Amino acid sequence: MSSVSRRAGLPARIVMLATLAIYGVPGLFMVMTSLRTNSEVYAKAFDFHFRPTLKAYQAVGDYDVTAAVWSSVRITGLTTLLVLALGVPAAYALARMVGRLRSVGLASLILLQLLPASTLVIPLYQVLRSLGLLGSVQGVIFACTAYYLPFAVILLRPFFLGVPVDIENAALIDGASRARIFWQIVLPLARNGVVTVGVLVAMIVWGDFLFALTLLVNPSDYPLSTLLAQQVSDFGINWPRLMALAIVAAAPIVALFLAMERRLSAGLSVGGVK
Amino acid sequence: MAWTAAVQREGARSRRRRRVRLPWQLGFLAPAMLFLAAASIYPLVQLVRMSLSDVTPETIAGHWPFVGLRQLKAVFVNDQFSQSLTNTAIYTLVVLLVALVGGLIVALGLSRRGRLSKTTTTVMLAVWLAPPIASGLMWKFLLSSDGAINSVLGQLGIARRPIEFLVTGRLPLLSVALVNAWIVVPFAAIVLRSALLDVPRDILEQADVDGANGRQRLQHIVLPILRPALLVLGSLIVVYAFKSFDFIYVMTGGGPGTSSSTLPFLGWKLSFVAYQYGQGAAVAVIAMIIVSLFSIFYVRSVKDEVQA
Repeated sequence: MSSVSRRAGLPARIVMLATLAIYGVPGLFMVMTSLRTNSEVYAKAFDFHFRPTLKAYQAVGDYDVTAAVWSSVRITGLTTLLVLALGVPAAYALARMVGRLRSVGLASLILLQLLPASTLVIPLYQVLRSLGLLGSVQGVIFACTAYYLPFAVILLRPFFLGVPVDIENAALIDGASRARIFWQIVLPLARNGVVTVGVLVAMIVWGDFLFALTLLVNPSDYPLSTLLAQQVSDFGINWPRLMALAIVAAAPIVALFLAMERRLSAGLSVGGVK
Repeated sequence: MAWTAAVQREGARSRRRRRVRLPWQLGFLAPAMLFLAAASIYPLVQLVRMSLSDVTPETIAGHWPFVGLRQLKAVFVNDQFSQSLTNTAIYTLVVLLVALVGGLIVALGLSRRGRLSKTTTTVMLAVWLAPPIASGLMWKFLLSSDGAINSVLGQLGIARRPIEFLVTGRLPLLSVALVNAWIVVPFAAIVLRSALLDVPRDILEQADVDGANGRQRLQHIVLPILRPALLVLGSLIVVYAFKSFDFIYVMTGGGPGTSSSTLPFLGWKLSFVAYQYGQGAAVAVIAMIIVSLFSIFYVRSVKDEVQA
């Protein structure tokens, strides 16, 4: 591994420790706060001398957490499935195309991906209303799929570019259909990429609250992320309880990341910037 | 002979015509294309229509009265709009600079292999991938008037009165922008670290032999080689900052007033907090135009990097 600061051992070490602190300490602090009581936190927000208690986590049960988790699971699961079902064939097609149609396709996907979600949701609100899907979880899934599909296709395409065309041509000569080639040859070879992008999309959708906040009418349908976002407007925030809820919402994502770290970082460097 | 050439050309054309059939790729592309046409393109056309009509909670379900450019004109003289436009520029610039410089420093620091480097990378990436709503809330707590940072500053005797990071003046906009930069640095660092691998070792060693110091090596060797990667990364960060919604919503709600609203955020707030759908759509259309202009730059920088 070539490196610029190969000899600069100490500065590199300092940078690493500082980075570790800047990213680790706030999280530790969050965990610490979730283990205290509200009155303690209001008296002194930063204090190491306290007796840890799980009260805040018990208080999380005051919210309808089960319903929120179920809503999160439905939205995340179905959106990811839909995004992959539509996005995987499209990414494969774009990886096997040349010429103007490909350029136009890619450019429009990039443009759609660059649009702010807060912009797209304004007309989607009206479109879903006319379809009678406003206020339903299906409507949120529709909106999330529309918003994250371009992103997924752009990330997936490089994985299909990596599948050698020669294998496909050989199969064609043997009389295999395009659909069969895709299912039996291409997809298994690009499986890692599909899993990586699927996990990434699921992680992002799990944390997304804008679409559910805007498109759902009944707070009892809210997914976990939106339930969390909604607490912000509360006057006189109960910080330990809120931090506990935030940790509950973030835990599955962080756990999933830790379980798949190697695969995700390898996948990101393929799909990465290009 | 002219006619043989003509016959040959005709023959080639008809052969080509016979062979012309829909490329098989279209079959794979069609489901996504049709879905996006219905769920994305059609809504965006509606958005433009909305910006040209007087859409309110009363008229949204029925006929939209066409008012032409009146709404866009009204938006342009609106103080909220001009403030949000300035905010967008400041916000984007702060995120861009802090994330690029921070990302480069971290990337240089992490370019050594080892346990510390691995742990730091893991922690950083976990933070990057965690739901923004969770980290946004965390920072809201850390930065609030009676929150952790003010508590520490008070106990150390640095600040006698709590600093209102999220409440008054310009500070809320800067605070949210810095938190947003904090969340982008890990991504920037990872991208730049892999770009740093392209810096040839022998050139650096030669520079070493020639007596170049660290700063000179950075300025004359590393940065020029990183240029294409910095360009692509920079445009990604700008777009990301422009799109920002989560941190603004959670930490300040765009306030006080519109002092920490960016353009896309204002469009959303006008639509779904003030219920002025037409006005909101007009702001959103302007945001969309800015994004489109930017995407040209982005596509070009990606193309350059791929060719380089």
